[in-house]
Amino acid sequence: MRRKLIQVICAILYNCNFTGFAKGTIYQGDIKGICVPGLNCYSCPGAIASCPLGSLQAALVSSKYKFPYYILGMMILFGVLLGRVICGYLCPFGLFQELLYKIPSKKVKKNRWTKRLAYVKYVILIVFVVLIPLTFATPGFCKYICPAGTLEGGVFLVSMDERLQALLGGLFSWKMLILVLVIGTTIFIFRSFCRFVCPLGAFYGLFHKVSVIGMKVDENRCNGCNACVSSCKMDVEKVGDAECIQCGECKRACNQCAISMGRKR
Amino acid sequence: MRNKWTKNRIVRLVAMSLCISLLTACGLDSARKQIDEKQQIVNENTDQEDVTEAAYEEEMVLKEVLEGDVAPDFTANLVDGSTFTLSENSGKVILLNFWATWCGPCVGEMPAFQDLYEEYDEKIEILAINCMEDEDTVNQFVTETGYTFPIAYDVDGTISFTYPSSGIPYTLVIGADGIVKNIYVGAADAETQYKLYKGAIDATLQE
Repeated sequence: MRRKLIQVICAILYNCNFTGFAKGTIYQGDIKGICVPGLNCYSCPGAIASCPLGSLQAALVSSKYKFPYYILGMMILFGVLLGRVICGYLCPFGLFQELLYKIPSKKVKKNRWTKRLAYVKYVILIVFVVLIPLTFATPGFCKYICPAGTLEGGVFLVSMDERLQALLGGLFSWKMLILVLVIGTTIFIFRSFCRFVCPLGAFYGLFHKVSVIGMKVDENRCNGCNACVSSCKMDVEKVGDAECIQCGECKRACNQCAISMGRKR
Repeated sequence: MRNKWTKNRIVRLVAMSLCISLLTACGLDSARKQIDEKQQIVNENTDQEDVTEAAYEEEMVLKEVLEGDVAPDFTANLVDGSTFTLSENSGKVILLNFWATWCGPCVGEMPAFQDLYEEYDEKIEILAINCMEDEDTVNQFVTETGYTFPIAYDVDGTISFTYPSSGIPYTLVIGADGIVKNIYVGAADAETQYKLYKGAIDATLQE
């Protein structure tokens, strides 16, 4: 419950340029110079700060002229401090998917196929976020995949600006298709985008061993019943690994009270 | 154990929200102040009657330039060392573009400007204003790509603020009378943009 509250506060704080929604304009002030930790399109009329993933791609596109120290440093700082706590608590698109999952329907539980699909996001991180911007000078993930961008930037801005409507073509249809697919699958599969696609989660997942804050298991109390892992809706092998979004749902499943969240080191 | 956690968490949550809202508030304030200064510069430069203080109070940011408006005046420093002042070029059709090296579509449409520059020569003015990147970055880009059409710096964003837009590439065709004839946001490939701009320039030249 507290987690939902933090998620909602976060989503509002990230997008508190309310006049932008009314006018269909983008906030371009000083705060756009910093990144929010979660996935939140900076082309959203409400966004007051930048998307780390979008900024990274933009920086890599022009990395011929300048190495992206600033944005990489900021992302590594987020990773080292919070890791995927960001996914569980500070990401509006994660909240969006969790709300979609609340729609009553038959749910697909995790299985060995979803565990395999979980590796796709690492491929997307390398190919679409790093290689395509470096070789083709185009922000691959933002351009061809990101459904958060389609939802926040695409839908809002395009519906309010006629000049942008004139530019619509195959690419827009493709991205709308991806958005519809993500929304559709998320109703049946918990956080399908986070688990299989999101390169930002993949990046933060790399820090699961070193991040300062995260889930801790008290080895003295743990009786190895594995209730935590089997109750978890993500593709985790153990509490706090790269797939863990540190949401803390497993605390409830643990009858030994061995799991807690806090400073790991 | 659990109680302590709850308390800790709530304190931390409140502290975090406070920090963020403080940061947000200060940021907005300084952004506003900056816009204020820019506004003054613009007012001094252009004496634009329609951008009144009252309108600004309401709008928070400068008014977007619309087709049919008088193009706001500015002076830009060019990569080749010369300067370009819009008002000194009245009587000529001007193609004004805003771009950045990190902007894929901007860089993608640049061959169109080069072609137009070579084709029309002295008949029109083309100026591509870089948006707030440092001079070294722009210089390196120009050296590497070898473009010869006029490219200008706008390191502190003064000109970009005079021509606010929701995004780049942002391109305007300005008539000989100083009136903005066409405005384009975004761009397709260079070939499409070439035809688009050429059509607009020809129509403006014939007026």
